[in-house]
Amino acid sequence: MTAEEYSALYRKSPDKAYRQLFEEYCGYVYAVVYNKLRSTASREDIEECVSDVFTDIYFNYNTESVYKGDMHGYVSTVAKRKAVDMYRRITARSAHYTETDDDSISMIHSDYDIEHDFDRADSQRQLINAVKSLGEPDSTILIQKFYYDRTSSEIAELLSMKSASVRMRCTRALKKLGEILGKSDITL
Amino acid sequence: MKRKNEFDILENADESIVNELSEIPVLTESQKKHIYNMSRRNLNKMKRENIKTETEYKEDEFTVSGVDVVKGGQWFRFFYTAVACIVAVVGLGSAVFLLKNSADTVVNETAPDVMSYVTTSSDNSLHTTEVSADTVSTSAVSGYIASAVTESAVQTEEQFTAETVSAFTETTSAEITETTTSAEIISDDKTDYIQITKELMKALEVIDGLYCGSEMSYDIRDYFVYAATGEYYYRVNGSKNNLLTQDDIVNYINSHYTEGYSMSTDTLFYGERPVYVEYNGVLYMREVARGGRYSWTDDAPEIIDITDNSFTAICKNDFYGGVLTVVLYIENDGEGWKINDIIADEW
Repeated sequence: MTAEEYSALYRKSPDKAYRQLFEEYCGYVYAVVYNKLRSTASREDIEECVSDVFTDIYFNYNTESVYKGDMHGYVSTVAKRKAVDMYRRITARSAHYTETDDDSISMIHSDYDIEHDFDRADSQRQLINAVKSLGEPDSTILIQKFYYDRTSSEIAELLSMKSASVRMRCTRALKKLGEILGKSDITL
Repeated sequence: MKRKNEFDILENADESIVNELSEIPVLTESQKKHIYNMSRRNLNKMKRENIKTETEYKEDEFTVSGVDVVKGGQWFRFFYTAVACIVAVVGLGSAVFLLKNSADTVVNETAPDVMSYVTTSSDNSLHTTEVSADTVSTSAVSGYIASAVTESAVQTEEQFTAETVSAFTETTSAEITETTTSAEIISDDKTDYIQITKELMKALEVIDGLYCGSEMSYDIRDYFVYAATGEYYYRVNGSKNNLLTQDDIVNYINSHYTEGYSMSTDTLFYGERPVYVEYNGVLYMREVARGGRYSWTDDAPEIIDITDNSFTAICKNDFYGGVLTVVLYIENDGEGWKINDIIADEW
């Protein structure tokens, strides 16, 4: 959906524009938010964050803007910021304070490690490529099972399959993934 | 707590990885609907409260900082305190006086469908409330009070206590206490919208009846076996609203639902277990569980968010003795006023 289309639809019917925006970007926004909050927030918090993203866009997107291109970038930015806000809100609850003196402050190193970040990015890419090489529905099953932490029955509903089939395919796909990654000297 | 696994490495990935993850199906339809309903509730609540978002606050042009110290004489404090006490006493006294007065008012000897009272509640704000008469009762007309707009009608039930108004046969008073936080005078301009909403509510009952079997009758001697599922489908031989063919049903739905929302009725004719099947040009239906969702209370729908071609109606659903709030989003798509979306408390 382009900004021009959204703005035109918003002027005609804000509710329709909201619905269409939601239909088009819900999955993407969920993926962005989940990627940030996966190990910090509960599923309910993540869903709340997703709904906040669309509410924010509804109220704050300037429909008079001259920009007419794809809304993907705007939606992505709002989603990331909302996710970061929620991350800070959640982690602030478990904040703790400690005294520091000048000596100990100087010994604290920066946690920014270029080499580690590069390796991590490379591993992410290899894992994604390996999962995608399994084809559908195995790649979806593995991502849903181990990344999104869904149950077999939820995956079955998503893929219109039976839970038993999902479990069976998951086991086989995992084994196959292990073999593919093993060739790149990566072990699961 | 999520179990640790090798896929944890995908967390906090860069944009290209996230884009690839988003290409994989993420949410089921029920999960999407759940999130959509949640977002709509938040949206409507914020619309009604007209709350500024954090972004707007940050973008405010003017900021104030520092402390302005004001010194005044001590006697000012006593003076203002005294004035505040006097105002409070006068206000309370007025409220009691007006409430007592309304008890003596003879409203009407006949029974109009809707009456409006203007009352002053304890905080001195004016409220207009509607009383609708239950015309079923003949010996004494009983009434109940539908309160005016509350700030969160979708999320919470407005709470009020009222004694039954039997103003048509005797002049007892109706004590009304409301916990509404805003007062809105319901003007006659909304009468048309209320009427449109009531017609659509009726249509919802009919469409609901198509799902739960209350709309149709069928002949159990005339059936065929649906090959895909092995289920029996029986010939439809009657309909309360004369919907005897697939076209009749589709046209009825399309005349009351917008194009986008009518897709929600696809399971009537499509999917693994359609409710209706046309066989040799004749409509058949399978047995369905009885018990519909849409059974409305007698409360008038509350109309908000009126634009040139849309409005929102908040309706009360009698769900097996409980009262649920159902929000109807209504649009004029050029062919007439139709339901564009429905959000309800979880059934």
